[in-house]
Amino acid sequence: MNYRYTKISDIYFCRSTNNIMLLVILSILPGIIVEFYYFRVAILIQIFLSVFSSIIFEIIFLKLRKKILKFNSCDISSAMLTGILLGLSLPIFSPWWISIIGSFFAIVVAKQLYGGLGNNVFNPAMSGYAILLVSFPVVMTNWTFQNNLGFASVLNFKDVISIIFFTNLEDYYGTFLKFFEMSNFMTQVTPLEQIRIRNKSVVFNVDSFTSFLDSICFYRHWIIINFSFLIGGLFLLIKRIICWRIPFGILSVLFVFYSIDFFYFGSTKIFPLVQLFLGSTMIGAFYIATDPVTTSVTKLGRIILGFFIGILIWVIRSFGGYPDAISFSILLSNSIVPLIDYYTPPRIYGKVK
Amino acid sequence: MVFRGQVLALGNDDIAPIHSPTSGTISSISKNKFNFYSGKYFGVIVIKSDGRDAWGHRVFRKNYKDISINTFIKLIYDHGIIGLGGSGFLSSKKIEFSIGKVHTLLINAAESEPYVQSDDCLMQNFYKEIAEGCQIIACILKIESVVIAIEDDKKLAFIKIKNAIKSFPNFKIRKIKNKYPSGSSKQLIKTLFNKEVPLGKRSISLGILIFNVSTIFYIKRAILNSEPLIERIITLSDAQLLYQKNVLVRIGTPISYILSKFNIKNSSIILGGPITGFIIDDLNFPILKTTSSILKFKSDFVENLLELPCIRCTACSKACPMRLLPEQLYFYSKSFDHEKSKRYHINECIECGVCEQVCPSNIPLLTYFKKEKLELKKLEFQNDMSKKFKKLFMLRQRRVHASGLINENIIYSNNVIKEKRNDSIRHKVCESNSFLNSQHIMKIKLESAINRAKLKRNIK
Repeated sequence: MNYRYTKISDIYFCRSTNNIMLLVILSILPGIIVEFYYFRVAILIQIFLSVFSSIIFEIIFLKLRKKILKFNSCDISSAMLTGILLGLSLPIFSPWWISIIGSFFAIVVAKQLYGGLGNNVFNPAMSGYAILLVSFPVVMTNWTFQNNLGFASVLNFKDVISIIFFTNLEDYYGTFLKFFEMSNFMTQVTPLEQIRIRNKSVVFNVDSFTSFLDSICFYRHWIIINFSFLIGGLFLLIKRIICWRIPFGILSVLFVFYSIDFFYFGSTKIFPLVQLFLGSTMIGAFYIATDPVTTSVTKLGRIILGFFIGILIWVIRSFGGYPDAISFSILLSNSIVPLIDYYTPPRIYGKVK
Repeated sequence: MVFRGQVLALGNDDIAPIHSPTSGTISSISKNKFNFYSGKYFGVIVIKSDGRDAWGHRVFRKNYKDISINTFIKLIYDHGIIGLGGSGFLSSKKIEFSIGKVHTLLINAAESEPYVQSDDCLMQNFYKEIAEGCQIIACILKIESVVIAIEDDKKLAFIKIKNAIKSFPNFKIRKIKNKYPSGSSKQLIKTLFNKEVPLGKRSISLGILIFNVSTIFYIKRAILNSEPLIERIITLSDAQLLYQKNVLVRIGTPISYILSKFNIKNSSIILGGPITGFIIDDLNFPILKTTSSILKFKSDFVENLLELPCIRCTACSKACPMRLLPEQLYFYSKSFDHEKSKRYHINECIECGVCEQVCPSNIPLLTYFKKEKLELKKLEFQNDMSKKFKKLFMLRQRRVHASGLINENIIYSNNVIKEKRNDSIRHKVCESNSFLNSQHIMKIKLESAINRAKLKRNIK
């Protein structure tokens, strides 16, 4: 038996796993920069907290599992990527222990207990986020965009630090309310929350615009943020790191379903193309759903998976209790990946149907 | 005392006979084990050359049109010709299978691997003989069209072959893209004819007979010059491509001799191509019939890379020419899940090694697959072991009777059968073959053999 292993890099070009992870992190940078423009230093502190804690957890548990730890291997960079995705999805003024608990669940429970990188069934970042959302609903649903936007631009570095690190959970909500009263900010919900409420009660009549340009103008912050993630995703597509099938499946299903809503039933009054740029749709479609470990390996399976995630997002957003359904729909679809893989093997060479 | 081209070892159904590469005296016959070469035992015949290089008896033929198919097959078998592309499949058997089923002869002139140039060299120097060889096979097997497939970067060979086959109307020459593993027979058929060989069948079922160029060349030599397969062209190259040489060497030449001829010292050697070849420790290992190249490399060419976890990026299944799912097969072969690995067609893997070349996590996939295939073979063997051993035992019995060397004491030495021994059988044991083959005696013999085997096992 031949146990040799060679690699001829001049004939076959291939990136190392570490390189792939670092390129994904690089492609998120425009999104982080845009979010930094809106939320200032708070978003950076959240990302730093979750990245730092997930790297620490990764190192501790690799030591406990008696694995070889090399700093140029992919373990650290994958933990870093998980931390960045988790930090981006957390509310910017959530207290410091939220991100630590989230990264503990993401790294330890969702990844290391399943056998480390490559063996996890569920997406680590999203399972951490989902557990936080279920356990601490008050803190986690404070993602009121318009408020935070104004809030963040007024606060300086010291205030942000004091809110994140030195506020108790009881004081947490009170701090917000005090500040809203102080600075005369209107409490306003996110557009996805708006749509959800309006679908249930006919009376809700805050925005009655229908034109495309109006909706773009009204939701411009969301569109710019989502657009920056779209650019990063396209960069990954060009570099052939992610497969086009999953984002295509998700976005096409969402577009078709919202178009039916918009043109036929008239139940939503936002243009369907704008709908794709609301919430965390783009980061979910390009970064979280395309995580290679937890997706199907076959080409047909990936399209099916994309459709499935898209349908779940639409169903939960329209009829469910959560305004932004990315995390739950991706986790649900991860659980049916083995089934999809089993039923969609590719036709091998010479096989006659 | 042997002559050049004299038969040294006779073959059987699956093994071609071996011929002496030169004239001289046999100094020793021994058994040797090469650990790097699958750990098997090899019979080694050492010939001390007398320097005269004298041929044995040879028959020159000029008219090949009178040869019947059966004598043709026998001639090819007797001259020890096997597929030189790397498979080592008996050419005589291939032709035997293809009688009356084939309409196209496909000559595979694509190199099997990068760095290897031996076929290119052969075509540039012996283009006329190759064309003649094609004609011999086409004439004897009554094949209508002959297609020669050459990679697009071999321009000189292309021109020369084109000129050589100008006068034959049914000969065609086609260029293919130089991309590994296009030299594999299944991929070649796909690129040339846009057809796929059905699962579990050979290319003959499509009516296409594939031969490597060098095989054709040696078939011609065997038929017309009565020269057995005792030499071949191999490529001697550096991993940095500082130099590249094609040398005609006798089969059985020790590698150390070739290296000393070119003043190469203290270097590591890969036998075979860079992707599927293997590193050798023992430089006294000889050139085999299927060896196509010797690759000398520096230590940094072969990296002992850290095997990272698979992240299922599907780079391997994108690259797989057979459209298998290597990442799934990797998981199943790692966990010895034989059922699943069979379901995902591990036996269809052609072992080209592209998947491990493109793997970002540096997983030696091919090693895992080879291991799993071996395990599957072992399991298959165990399943019909009883049948096979019964067959072997019967064969042995027949041989023993035929030679008349039956030993009563060995066969009937067991106590269990003593009662039956008192019958009248005892005196008639060696008398008649028909009686010996009667079922009753066979049964007794089988029982005794089983008992002996059990005893042996208990002793161990």
